[in-house]
Amino acid sequence: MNAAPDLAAAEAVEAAAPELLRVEGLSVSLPGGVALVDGVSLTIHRGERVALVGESGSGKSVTAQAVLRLNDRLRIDGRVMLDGRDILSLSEREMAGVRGGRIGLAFQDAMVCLDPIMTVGDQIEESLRIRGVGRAEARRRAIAILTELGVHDAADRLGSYVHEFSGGMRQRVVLAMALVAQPDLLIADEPTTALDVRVQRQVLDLLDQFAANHALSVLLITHDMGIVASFADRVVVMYSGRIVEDASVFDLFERPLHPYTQGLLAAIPRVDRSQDELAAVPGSPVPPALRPSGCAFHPRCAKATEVCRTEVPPLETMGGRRVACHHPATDGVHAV
Amino acid sequence: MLFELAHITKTFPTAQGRITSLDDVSLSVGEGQAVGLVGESGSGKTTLIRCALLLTQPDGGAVTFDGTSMLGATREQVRQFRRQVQLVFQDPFSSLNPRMTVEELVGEGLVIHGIENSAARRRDSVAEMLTVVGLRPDDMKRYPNSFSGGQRQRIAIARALAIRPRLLVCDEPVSALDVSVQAQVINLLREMQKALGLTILFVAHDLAVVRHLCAHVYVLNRGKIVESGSRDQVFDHPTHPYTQALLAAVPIPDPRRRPPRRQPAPAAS
Amino acid sequence: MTLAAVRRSVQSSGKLDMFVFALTGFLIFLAIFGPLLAPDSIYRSDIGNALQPPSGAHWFGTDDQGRDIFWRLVAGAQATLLSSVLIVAAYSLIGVAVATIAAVGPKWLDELLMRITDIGLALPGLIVALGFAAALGPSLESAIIAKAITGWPVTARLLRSILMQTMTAQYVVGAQVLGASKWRLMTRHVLPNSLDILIVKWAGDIGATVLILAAMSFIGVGAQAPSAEWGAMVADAKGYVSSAWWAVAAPGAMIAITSVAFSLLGDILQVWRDPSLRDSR
Repeated sequence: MNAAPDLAAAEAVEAAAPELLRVEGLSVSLPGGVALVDGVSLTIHRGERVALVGESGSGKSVTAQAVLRLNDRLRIDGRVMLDGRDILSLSEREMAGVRGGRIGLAFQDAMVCLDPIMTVGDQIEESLRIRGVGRAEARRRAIAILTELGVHDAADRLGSYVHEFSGGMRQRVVLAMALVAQPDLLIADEPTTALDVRVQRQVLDLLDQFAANHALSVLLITHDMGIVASFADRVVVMYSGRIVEDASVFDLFERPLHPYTQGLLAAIPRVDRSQDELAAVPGSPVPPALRPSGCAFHPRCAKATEVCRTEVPPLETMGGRRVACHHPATDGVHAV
Repeated sequence: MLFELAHITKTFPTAQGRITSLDDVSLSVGEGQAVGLVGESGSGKTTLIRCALLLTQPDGGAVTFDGTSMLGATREQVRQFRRQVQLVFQDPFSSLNPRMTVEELVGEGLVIHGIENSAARRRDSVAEMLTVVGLRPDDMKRYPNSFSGGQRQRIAIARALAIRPRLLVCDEPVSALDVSVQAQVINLLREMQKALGLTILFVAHDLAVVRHLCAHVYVLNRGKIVESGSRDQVFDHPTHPYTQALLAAVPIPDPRRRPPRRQPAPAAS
Repeated sequence: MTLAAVRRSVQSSGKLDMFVFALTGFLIFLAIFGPLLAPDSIYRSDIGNALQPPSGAHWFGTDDQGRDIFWRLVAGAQATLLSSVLIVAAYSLIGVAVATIAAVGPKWLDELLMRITDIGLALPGLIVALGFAAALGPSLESAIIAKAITGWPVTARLLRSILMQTMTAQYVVGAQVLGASKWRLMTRHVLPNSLDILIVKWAGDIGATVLILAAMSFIGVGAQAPSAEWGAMVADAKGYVSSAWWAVAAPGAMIAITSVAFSLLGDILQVWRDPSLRDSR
């Protein structure tokens, strides 16, 4: 298997690198009481790239918002430890230092997160200026980061406005804003979903190179298993607000243990080969408000039994990976 | 050929002069075939669909359906065309009138074309159609906003197929859906193609979905067809640089296929 | 997030909403049944009882003819409010018809109708209405006709732009592909999805029209004494305001309350119609 050295490298990262972010028992609920995210625990090591995967209503974006306390209307329980310090207990002022400082943020929709009446340069420099960096130094660093993200005439383009940029360039600006203050962790929520496939590949390659250069940890939120397979070291799969599986990218694609992960992987059409029939998962993803009792996936699961209907399966560690299922695959299932 | 576009050209006036949206586009769809048209945003695929459905008049070229030239066709010929060519949209949330029940939505074509004038028999047809697309006949009295995205797309397909068209044009019909639901809708379209002998023109940016569903593929780039051929020919042995670049850029859902991890670039600060 | 906002908005503004619904409902009830409820005595003068201040017997006092002001207000609700509703209904119908013909019809007709609408918008509505009313002779009927004729351009312009937008919706294109006629597209798909915004406008317009009708009565081109139309009551009582303030204050307050209540109703309906506004309340 040609991937063996890569796999070993990924495991080495995990074993050697210290923990950067540890989320423990994170629950997020609306004031009315519906838990959008229910007891999520995950760890990101230094330099590690974790993909948080899920469909609509899975709670993957809410998890990211909660980690950064971006939505003050949500009730957040649990702990989010950044280098051993619980950032959920920080003051709003200290939290502002973490956001954009230690943790950078990039969203999918560039037109929403970029200000149409501010120049691109001012927007990229803003997070530095807030932190007391001088005007000239901020400009120098803005040019440096855009250049590293593949914008060749960065110095000339800082005075431009967003509408003068193409979709791929806008997304680079969004990434530059998130990365200019040299954060340890980048949280990227569907950063390439709105882009055409060739531009998506360019942006992903740039991000890949940038992360390698700076030993950046990345929490990549996506629904696209192709992007997961080409970018992530580890994959956390969410369904209806809970983690159902957490494994290295190789383990997950080669031998998914949770029936939902298996269904998800089998449902993807492939561009590199012709197939006869896709194995579709019956039903639709359930929004948290309609989450059934027991395992949230049981109404769509072929393996469901009585215990699945009544008891929420705990997220159990087995052989260096985690799965929350009463009947996880134990045979050598190969989905790929 | 059931449906043919020949040398279609369409330009639009802008402040900077006329821009060419479609430049000498020709494609043909044989009866019972599923033909794919791949195009990125800005390729002109939306204009192509509008021309193909007679919603926009092209500047030049010919649209032929079942041997009849549709540009300059009579009112009656257009009416016949509308009965035989249907459309499924990308976004199942904006393509269904929120104020109509499922029964009204699916039965509308039957009313318009006077296929089923008795309300009771129309209800039977709607119930049958809903069963065919995997919904329950009891869903008839509900409004679209009480359904999930995948179910809405089933309603949209039932609505389009209720009048038994011969050609179904699909405009990105699964790109707004969750992956696990997307496969259901793709399988449904395949079943419909086989069971009803339906002809499908499938327009999408998602190469994998097109490969899965279509036997013949056209690639549209900047208003021009740059490549066409059988599925395996286009996907496994692309000849045009654009097609090659497009295919190379698609992330493959298999981590063993990715290149080794990048090392820090020496020049980096 | 949105769900939470909706719930919060219902919790925080629910009481005001309910109060406004109750108030406008009560005013509409008065407008319909007021004249039946009021005693006949309000139509007769009783000079011995003239200019009584508010008391247990006459809650809002009496006017210079000794008529009970409370019951005159109840009876006059019809003239003021029902007229306003009729005016708004009349000019809205004209506006809807003009907008629909402009949206469906050939381009030249659209151009023509919209230019006429522009002229209508450019004319100062109140002045034109005053002119009409003066020409037709001062009466409540001429005020109604005048306002109804001058009110439609705003509705026509607003609705046409909404119709044009709705006509590009995917479900309309879908119905077109299905072979629906222009008439069917309009009546089944476009109008039902466009008219709800007018309901919001109607509520606000009724509030504004109450004010305008009262103003026209006050300056003498609308309803005339002895009508119990509220504006006419204010005009009638202004001569002896120094000795009987209540005869002006009571109908004035009713005009203000009614106008504000219907404007608020418009705001509430707007928020109900468009959930995205619920956040900002």
